[in-house]
Amino acid sequence: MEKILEVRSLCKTYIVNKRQNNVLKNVDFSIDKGEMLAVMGPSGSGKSTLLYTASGMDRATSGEIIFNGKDISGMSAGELAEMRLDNMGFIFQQMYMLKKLTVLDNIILPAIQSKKNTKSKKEKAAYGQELMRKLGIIETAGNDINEVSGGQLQRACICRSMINSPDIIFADEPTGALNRNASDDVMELLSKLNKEGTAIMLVTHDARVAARCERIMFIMDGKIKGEYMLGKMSSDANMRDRERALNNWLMEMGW
Amino acid sequence: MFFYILKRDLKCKKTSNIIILIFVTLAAMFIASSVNNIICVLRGVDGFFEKAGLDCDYIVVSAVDEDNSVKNVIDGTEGVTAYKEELQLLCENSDFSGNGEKIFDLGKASFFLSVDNVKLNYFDVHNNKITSVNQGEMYVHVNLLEKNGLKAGDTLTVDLNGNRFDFKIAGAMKDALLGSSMLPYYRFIINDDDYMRLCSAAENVGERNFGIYYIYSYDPVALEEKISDEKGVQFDVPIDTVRSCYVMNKVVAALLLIVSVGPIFISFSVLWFAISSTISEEIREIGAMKAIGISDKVIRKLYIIKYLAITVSGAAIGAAASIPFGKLLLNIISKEMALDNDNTIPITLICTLTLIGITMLFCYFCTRNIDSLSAVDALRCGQNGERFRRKSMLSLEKTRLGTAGFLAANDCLSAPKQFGLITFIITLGLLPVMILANTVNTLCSDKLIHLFCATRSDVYIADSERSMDVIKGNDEGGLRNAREIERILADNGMPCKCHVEVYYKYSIKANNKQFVMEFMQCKETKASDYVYTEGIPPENKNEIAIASRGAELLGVDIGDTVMIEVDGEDKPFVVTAFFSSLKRYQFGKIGRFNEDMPTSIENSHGTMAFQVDFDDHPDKKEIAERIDRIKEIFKNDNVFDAEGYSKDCTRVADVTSALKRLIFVFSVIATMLITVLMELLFVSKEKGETALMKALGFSSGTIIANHVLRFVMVSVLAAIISSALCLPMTGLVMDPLFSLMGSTTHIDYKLVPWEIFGLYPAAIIIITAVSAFITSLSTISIKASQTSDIE
Repeated sequence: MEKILEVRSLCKTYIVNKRQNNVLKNVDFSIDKGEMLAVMGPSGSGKSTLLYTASGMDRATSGEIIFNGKDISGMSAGELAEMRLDNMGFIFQQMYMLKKLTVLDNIILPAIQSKKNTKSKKEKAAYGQELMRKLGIIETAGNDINEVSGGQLQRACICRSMINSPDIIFADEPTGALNRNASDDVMELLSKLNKEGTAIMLVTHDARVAARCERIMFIMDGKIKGEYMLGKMSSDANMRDRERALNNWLMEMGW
Repeated sequence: MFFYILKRDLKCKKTSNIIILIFVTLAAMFIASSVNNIICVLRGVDGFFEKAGLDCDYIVVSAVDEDNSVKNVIDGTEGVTAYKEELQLLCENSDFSGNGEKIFDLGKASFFLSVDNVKLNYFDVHNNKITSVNQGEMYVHVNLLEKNGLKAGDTLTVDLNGNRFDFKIAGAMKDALLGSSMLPYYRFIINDDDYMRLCSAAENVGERNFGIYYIYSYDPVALEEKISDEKGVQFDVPIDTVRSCYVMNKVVAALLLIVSVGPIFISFSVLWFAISSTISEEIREIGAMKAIGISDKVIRKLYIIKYLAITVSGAAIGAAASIPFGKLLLNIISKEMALDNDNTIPITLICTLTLIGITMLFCYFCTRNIDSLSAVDALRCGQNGERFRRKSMLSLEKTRLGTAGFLAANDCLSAPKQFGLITFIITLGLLPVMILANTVNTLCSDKLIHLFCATRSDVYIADSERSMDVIKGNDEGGLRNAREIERILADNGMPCKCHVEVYYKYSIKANNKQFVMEFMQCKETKASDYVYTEGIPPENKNEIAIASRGAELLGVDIGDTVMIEVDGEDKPFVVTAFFSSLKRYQFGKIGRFNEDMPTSIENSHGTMAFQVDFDDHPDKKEIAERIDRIKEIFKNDNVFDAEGYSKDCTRVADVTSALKRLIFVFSVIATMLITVLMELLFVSKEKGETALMKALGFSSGTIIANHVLRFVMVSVLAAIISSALCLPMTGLVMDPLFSLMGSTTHIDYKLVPWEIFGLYPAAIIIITAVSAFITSLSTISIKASQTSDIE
């Protein structure tokens, strides 16, 4: 299977108060096109750092990151920004949006900014509305972000991440701030997107969320301790079994 | 605990705290120095006169003839109790050259004065009394040195009748009587031996002997009446009129005080913004403090103490800086006066303490918000699930702006208070500059010509010799000199018409009031050629127009009859019109006769400049070229176009221009500091959003462009508002000040488009953009992974 992302010997070190903190230590992994990968681990294990570094949002201290065949570890900030804009989508735990824009404007902002996306503004807005309709939040298009619920906002973030039809979506605890029902809805949507061909790398500490992914990576103390293949999800009936199997594996991993 | 928290806060927010400190310092410096200056100048005129020994009631400056007729009049006038006579030798422009070059700007008349014969105290630049002058040296009036680009150590050469005398300039001099820039007379104080040698060398020494009489009288009106009949009197005025000549110094000091209000407002605005932003940024911390039980009072104290520390430090530095700064300003606005302000320190202290008090009250009110928030609200950053006022204003779908421009415009419209404040501050900095620019341009334009009782002409030739010819009675109405000028100019290829306004002194009575009034008349123009504020021009010989102020003094209105003593007989004249006048040292006691009114050469007292109108109506450029030629022909540098003459008449354009430049520099610095401070606060507040935009794929360039465009938009708006308001505001601020000078009508101010709509707005916009750009470069260091900083 063609790889969309390949990470080799990735290291990330922070220096705080003159002390070196090695957050990631020689991490190797890859993601295939259309794959859904979950990264799990205890707090402080380096999950989010792995996500941000692999996506180019943060600079690695050393190692290689190959995205779509290109080594992005040596790219300039401008090149990385352009790459993120045109090829990646991001979903954050806290549903970060620009406060002074409407929900629709927040969604279409990356499309307006992208030079690769050559559609007209009207077409981009129309596509944004189509995504909102698909995700069931079209009625919130003209609202301010403080006029919608957490679940609606997270769905808006998903729309935003999809607006430029990215090759991969990075999600950092996408359901962390949501209730159970909203979490299920969001994960349902992400699974749907994945089925349509978008690769997803998500960070989570919730086994219920991770159980929807086909592969789970366990990270601890900055190193990949193990990987577990759950395979593509076929029906809801598998969910409890998948979750159970995953939990057992995690216990074996020492979490 | 307070000091610990204060120390940490000051360390963490160094840059914004420093900028607030700078603004408080500037505010303290400006207010203390301006208040000191205005008190100094208001009191200073009296103090200067007292120091100089100028305590008489009436002044007469007159030629001394063989019969001592002026002295005899003074002696014989009832009411005169004593007088002092200060003899001087009249200088003519042609007598002088400085450092080998001709000096032309000697005003209307200048005098040599022996140091042994002084009857007043004269002061050097350090306000020390001049008691002696070495042989071969002279003290020259400070204004004269400046006008002619001379300084102490330069050489002035006096050429009298082929005899050459070189004088080294010992220093600048301050003269209480003739020191005001509104009086076109200068004196040179020299050694007595040099004085005697000059007297011996002068060809027409008899005609050059002048006396200044300092007269003590309990009935100056009687003296004024008698003196006005005397020929050779250059001018005679009550001492109050001389005092009033320093009005421009007061006006400029008042202007400085008004302009100082700007830094105060800006400081308060900056403080309000800083306090509000800080509280908004730290709202979670405030919530946490409330949640653990710290009272609102204590929380507010934390902020108040922080700003108290900054305010006290800034005010102390500003107070210290205000003393040399105030001296600098005083030198600009009052270099002619020997001023001492003994109360600088107490006044500075009062101003500083007042500023601190007001600032702390202001901080106290700004921190009121803390009381109104509950702990839970604050922890949730004010969000409790309720719907809030809509923030977004524009639609990305519908806009034609690029992303950066759209975000900038949306930010400005979404936070109107914030950006409105920045717009207000920039406007507050720009408007005074524009007001002063309009004032300077007006003073240097021909818009005020009519206020000097003159018509508009192509060229004005101020020739003191020809003027004297008229005063001495050798040329009725100035007609002979006017014809001569026409002939000379025609011979040089510049055919023209020439006329001159002549002043006549007549005694006027009405409503049991009587004084001597100066009447203008030009035999070759019509009374209807002049500008009147009310009524109709005097069309008949027995009709007059008078200055509004003069009418007030007499208690007359249009249509009333006054009695004017003509040829020894009181004759009735009807007042048909009023006009406004800025003429120096008449201050309202001025009128105009109809051109056919038979005036007596005996009453002629002086002239305005000879006015030339070319037959071929040349353009401005051609006029300028002809002026250069005329200067050569007449060996006289006092040849002006209409704008130059107006500037010369007011004599305050230069000092106002200096003030304008100073305020402009301040304005630029203030705009720069405000922009840097606000931008720092924005960068800090929007760290999370900046990180989010980077995470989404926005380049640093787009983010920086967004930040810069916000400030460019508000500065453009400020420029538009200032440009729109500058003319009405100029009228509002300057009309009262011009009225102090004698104007009773609204002045038609001159706005120079390239300056008001181009230069100043462009400068401010560029400074704002550059400052915002440099400050926003700090966003480059914000990483996409810092998105969790978003609130």
